Amino acid sequence: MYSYRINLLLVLLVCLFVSLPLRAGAQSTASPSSVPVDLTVSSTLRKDQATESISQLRELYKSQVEVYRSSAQQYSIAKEQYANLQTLAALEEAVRATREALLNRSRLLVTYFQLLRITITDVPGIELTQKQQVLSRLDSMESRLVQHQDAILNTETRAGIGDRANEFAALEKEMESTIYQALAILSVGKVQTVYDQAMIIRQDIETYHQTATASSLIQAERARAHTETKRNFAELQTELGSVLTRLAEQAEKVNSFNKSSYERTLEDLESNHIRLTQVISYLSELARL
Amino acid sequence: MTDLDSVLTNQTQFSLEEPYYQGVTQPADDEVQPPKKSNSKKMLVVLASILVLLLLLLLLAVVSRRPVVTPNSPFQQGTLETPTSVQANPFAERIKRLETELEEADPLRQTLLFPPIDMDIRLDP
Repeated sequence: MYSYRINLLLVLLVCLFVSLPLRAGAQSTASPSSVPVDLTVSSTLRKDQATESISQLRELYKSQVEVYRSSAQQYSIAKEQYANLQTLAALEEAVRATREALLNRSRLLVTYFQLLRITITDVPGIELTQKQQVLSRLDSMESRLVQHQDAILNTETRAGIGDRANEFAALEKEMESTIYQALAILSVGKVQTVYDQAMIIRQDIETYHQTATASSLIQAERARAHTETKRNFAELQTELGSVLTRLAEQAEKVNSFNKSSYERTLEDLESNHIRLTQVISYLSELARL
Repeated sequence: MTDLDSVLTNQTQFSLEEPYYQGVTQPADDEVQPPKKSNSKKMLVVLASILVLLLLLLLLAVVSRRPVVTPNSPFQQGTLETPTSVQANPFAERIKRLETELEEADPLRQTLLFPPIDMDIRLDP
């Protein structure tokens, strides 16, 4: 019994001594990788947070669109009833329904501007000056819409409702221009982001081919492929640059963005997008060479 | 009959093995049994201890070699995917991701359309 205890004690002591260096080793091997893990996790977290905020705002926006549609329908009915009946009760209902529709419209627009803002901030391919300019215009419009919303909340009378409607009409042109400018910049930025990433991959493939060993025949084939791909990249950048320049010139004019200018931008971008598809298929071929 | 008795009855074998038995004294049973018992018990304890030790070492080795990062960590995903993908095509995965982003960047696939609102809500004309 005595020897059994001694043996057990010995086993425990050996285990203790063996486990200490093992655990220390595990910690020392983990520590060098802890920095990149933290960095990757933090950047991924930031991206995830932005994506989460965007999806939350989208959901809010969708529900507000539904609420607005319902109140706009009520407003139309109440307005028609008042026009037909011309009673005080019908007027009361029409004022209430109009106030509700105005309020829900401004709420929806505030959320829409917030959604545009966070989406534009999240796209890295937008040129910084244009991004700042658009974000500043979005912020300005949002704060004016919030003021308009607060004014509606404090309005109860028929005359007050008329004033709020006039206030919104004064904002309309600038608001429309701001939205279409933001949408145009966003569309260009998305294509530019993909272009920038494609350019990085092209450079990486080139570096990889320079260091990798291959026969002279393959090396010559790679060189020709790189030359052609580079040419396409350069031409595409010129085309994207011209779209950006046109948008920048347009931004200098007051309230110059509208639906037709936005559609023109989309048409220009569509050809760039097709070309970018071609360039990326070149990259795919290059990587296999 | 013990083994010794059977050997002793076989005279031919006994005569052949006689030199081995010379000078060997047969200890009494009650004198030999207790030390034999304690030796085998000791051996059992030692063997059991070694077995337990080995099992513990194995367990510790398994626990200490378990990766520190979580399975969903992007860092680990990168390190796990890299060796196989690098050997096949180091850029295939990146190009595939790029193609997905390209689809999302299609100008004809706009997700943030102009709000569907009536710009002229008013009670009085």
